[in-house]
Amino acid sequence: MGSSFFGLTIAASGLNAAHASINTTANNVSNVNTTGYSKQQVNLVASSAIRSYQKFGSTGTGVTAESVTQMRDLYYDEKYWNNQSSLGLYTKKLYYMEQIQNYFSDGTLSSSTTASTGFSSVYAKMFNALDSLKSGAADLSKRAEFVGKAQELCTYFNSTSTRLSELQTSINDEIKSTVDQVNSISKRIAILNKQINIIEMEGGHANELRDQRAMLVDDLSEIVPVTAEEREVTNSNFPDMKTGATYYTVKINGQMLVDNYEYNSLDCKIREERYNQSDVDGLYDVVWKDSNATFDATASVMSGSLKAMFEVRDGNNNDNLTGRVTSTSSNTMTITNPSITDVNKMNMPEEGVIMVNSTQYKYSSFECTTDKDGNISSYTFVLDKPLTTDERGKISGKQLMVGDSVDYMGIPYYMNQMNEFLRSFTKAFNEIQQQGVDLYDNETGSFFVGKHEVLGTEQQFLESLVEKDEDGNVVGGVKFDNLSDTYYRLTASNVLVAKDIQHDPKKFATTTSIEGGVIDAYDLVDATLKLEKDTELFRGGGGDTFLQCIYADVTVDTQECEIFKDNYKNISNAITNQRMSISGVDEDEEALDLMKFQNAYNLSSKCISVMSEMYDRLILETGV
Amino acid sequence: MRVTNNMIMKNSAYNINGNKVAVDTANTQMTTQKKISKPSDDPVLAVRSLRLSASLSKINQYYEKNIPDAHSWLNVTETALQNMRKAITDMRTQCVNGANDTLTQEDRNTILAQLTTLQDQIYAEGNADYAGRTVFTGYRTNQNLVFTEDEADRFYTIDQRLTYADIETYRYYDKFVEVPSTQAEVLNNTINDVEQTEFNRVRLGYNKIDQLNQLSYTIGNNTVTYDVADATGTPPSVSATGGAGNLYIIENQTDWSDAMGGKTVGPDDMIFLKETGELVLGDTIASQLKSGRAVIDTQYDKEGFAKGELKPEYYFDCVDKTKDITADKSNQANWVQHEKFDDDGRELGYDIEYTISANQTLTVNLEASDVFNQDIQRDMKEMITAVTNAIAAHDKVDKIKSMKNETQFSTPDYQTKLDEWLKAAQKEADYVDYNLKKLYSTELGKVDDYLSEISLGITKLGCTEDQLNLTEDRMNNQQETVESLQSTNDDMDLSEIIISYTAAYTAYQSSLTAAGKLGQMTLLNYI
Repeated sequence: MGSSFFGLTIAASGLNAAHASINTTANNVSNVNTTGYSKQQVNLVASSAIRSYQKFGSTGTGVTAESVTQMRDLYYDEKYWNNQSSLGLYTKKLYYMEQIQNYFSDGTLSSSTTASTGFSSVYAKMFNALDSLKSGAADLSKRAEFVGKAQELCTYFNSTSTRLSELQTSINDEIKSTVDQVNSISKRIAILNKQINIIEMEGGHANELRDQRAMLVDDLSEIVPVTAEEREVTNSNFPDMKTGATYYTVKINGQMLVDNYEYNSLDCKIREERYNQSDVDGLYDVVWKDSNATFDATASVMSGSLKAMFEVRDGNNNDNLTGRVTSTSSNTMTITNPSITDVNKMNMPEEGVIMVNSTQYKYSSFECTTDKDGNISSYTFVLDKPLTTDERGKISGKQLMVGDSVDYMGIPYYMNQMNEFLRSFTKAFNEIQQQGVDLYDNETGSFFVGKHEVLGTEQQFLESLVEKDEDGNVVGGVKFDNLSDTYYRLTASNVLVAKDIQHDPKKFATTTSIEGGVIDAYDLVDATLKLEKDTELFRGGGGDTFLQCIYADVTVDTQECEIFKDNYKNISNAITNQRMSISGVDEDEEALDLMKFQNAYNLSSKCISVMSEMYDRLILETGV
Repeated sequence: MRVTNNMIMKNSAYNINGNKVAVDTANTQMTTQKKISKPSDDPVLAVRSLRLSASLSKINQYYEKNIPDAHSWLNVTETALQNMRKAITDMRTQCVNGANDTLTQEDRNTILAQLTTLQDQIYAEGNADYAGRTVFTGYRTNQNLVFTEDEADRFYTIDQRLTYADIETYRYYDKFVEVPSTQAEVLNNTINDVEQTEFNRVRLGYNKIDQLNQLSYTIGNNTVTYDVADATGTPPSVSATGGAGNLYIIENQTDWSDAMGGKTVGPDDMIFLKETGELVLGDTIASQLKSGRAVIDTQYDKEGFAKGELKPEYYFDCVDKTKDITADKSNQANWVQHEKFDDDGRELGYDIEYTISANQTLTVNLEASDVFNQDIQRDMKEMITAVTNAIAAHDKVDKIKSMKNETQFSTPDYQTKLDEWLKAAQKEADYVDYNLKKLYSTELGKVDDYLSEISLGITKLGCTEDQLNLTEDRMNNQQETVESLQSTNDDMDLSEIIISYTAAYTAYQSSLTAAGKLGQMTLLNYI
């Protein structure tokens, strides 16, 4: 016969278990709206039976609340993280692409606030004003109107370029704060790893800390692609014996970010040189703090919002200059067969970096050689540090690249497109102007000029790209450098109508000669009018197709972002639902649990009172 | 699948948001009435819209600026030409009057007064301007066609080509009667016997010529030159190189009479009269030039232009040397060259062309040389001279007649002498009357030519105007077409938006209603 008071203990364990369960339910209900909270449950097991030396053998000893664990499926976490980085990529990209699109948008479509400020409107207005000049080439008000409209075109490009530069700066700032965020997340994950282990090595379950850690990884996955891995730590002497501790690692882009209690940091390093001609100064590169190795945010396997920022900030559609190194001297490198042969398309900064053999070299200036068609046949870069003989041998014949090639149509790409268009357009325009005379019968120079970045003087771009003999026949190419007065120095940010023409509209040409007072002659106006659409200026079309080309680029990318963002958002919703389906707290369920455990509690306490009556009977009334 | 309350909440929030986006899109479309609000909504539509806007902007430029501008220009031109035609018609009336047999002194005075007024009027029309730009002056729109005031310092060297067709007969008179006033004069003064000579002549574009630089005539391939610079003697004369006869360069008609003993010229000779800008031809050479269809090339200097004279650059190749202040006008740097003819003698045109539709231009201007004959002015002056002479001659007759009634001349001596005077004066009056009649009937023919030139100009303008009107109609149609195309492309159909907006709004409301019911009840309500 077993102990008389055995039953009391069993009932007490039931009370205990029900109490624990109700507590857990209360915890679940209180956290029903807590972000990242996973539903917890008390794991009840029947206590081990003991032998009672009775005919029936052994009896159950009640219930044990073994542990409180969370409901979580790691499989869905991983799926969520993978999807989240793609979603982050396209969401961020869309955000920026819509801004770029907005900058280029021409107001005829939509709201009246932006009406007639876009390129096409400004461009058409300028040519209409020019057309008016045909019926009054010497009319000062008509001339002034045309000059005003032409300057409006310049201002359009100036302001669009400024807006793009500002966007580039703000993306750059965001890169910095995003990198800080990554660092803060990695640090917190490492701390959490330690705290979780402290609790769990004592046999507990660090449910709340685990929720927090998962949430941090959720956040991180939006920025960079994440893989997280958790291994159980076993006793090295007895591999089957678990210590309760776990080893948690987080990798971003395949590289270790958190290694259990240790973590790596990323660092933003300011570029000393620009990579593209129109880049703003002070762009960041992301490097690993410990090794100073570059973190390649634009690699093809990368995704996440960080990649989006880099792509939009640095994307040049792989249009940067490349070529093969054919000769070197102690401080120069010369390439031939360059990818850019047209001066109008040149987009390398005046001083920048070149990559050969995965090594960066800085150049402080460059020189170009043209052929007799005015196309560039070779570039010679003057390096800021001398090359060793060893290096010279290694780089000879290798492929060279200026700056970085980023396969996306980002801000540098649109800057280059604007520059290219402007250079073709202003060159054609100025060449017509340079044949003529103004109303004072003086020969005219360039109508569109560029303001020198440092000196503030106006550049006329008069340097010829071919050498001519006395009769004007082309006899060969020329050499020019980055400081020469070529259209390379014209950008969307510095273009303007020559100041003295703005002040005095008499000073531009409508004709080649006003000999004999024929001031209303307009032969050059006719020639210039052809530039509007008949002359091939940009991407195989006339000047009027510039915006159409840009639209094509920007809308294709924006639409792609929109579509992918929606897709990934849908997937994200599905995965979130599945995660919630497992981990979420359901109020009805908890209410049922409440009833269930209350009943259990009531019954257990009933058991005790029954027992009490039994002892009463046995002790006070039996055999007395 | 296990579904929790939060899942339901989250999903309905997601769905509500989806409906809200639809409402927002429809709302934007409804307020802007445009199909898309940013290019990426529909790139094809956006690009098409750009193209249509560009076309529309061009059409508006043509239709709303260039075409009305051209209209105004043509109107100004036409008004000027109409006024000019009226003036010349008036001139013609005076020709008819002058060619009449019987004219009283009063009639002559009327003719004189009329002609003097017309003379001022006729070329003032040539200075007509549109918005400050003179319309008959080609590309020199900031300059007038005629001098608006006397400019004594203007110096031009002018190349003028004349042809055999310009040769006409003209009558010259010498020894006009000078009416005596005192008794002694009546008795003692010589009574002039007026002489009439008739020669062929050609007239230059201007009178009061300073210097003749070159003269040559070409018959067939044979050019005869007078080396004007080598002229010697009094009056200076030079013989023709390769031809017969001399060229005499004479200041004015009085000198001519003095030098030649009367207004005559040898049959092979020529006389250049600086003051009147005439080249008087001897009979033989005149018939040679006419029968040989000769071309006469001249070059002359003229300093000082009178108000109302045409500026040479609109009619001739010339060099404006006004700014050259050297005594011999040798500083070429300060010369202004005006070319009216190219090397082959073709007239250079300064067409002002307005673009009135894509690839279509319209020449709106007529140049002075197309419509105003340079001779009109000189004809007018000669007509005035003729009528002035007639008036003077008749005045002389009247004066002598009244002298005869004066008591101081009542003696027979005086009366006899005065009868002689009267006879001479009457002869002069008869001659100048004859000249007046003859000249005015010649002018009648010329004026008809001038009129037809101007009428031709007006007709040309009318044709241009018709062409402009046609294009204007076409542009109007095109404007409407492109506007409606753009509207079809860009704009939403209002009924369509309202339907889609209502649909979106209904969906939004129902999703709100559904979400409102959620979460009201849980199991807890029943425990």
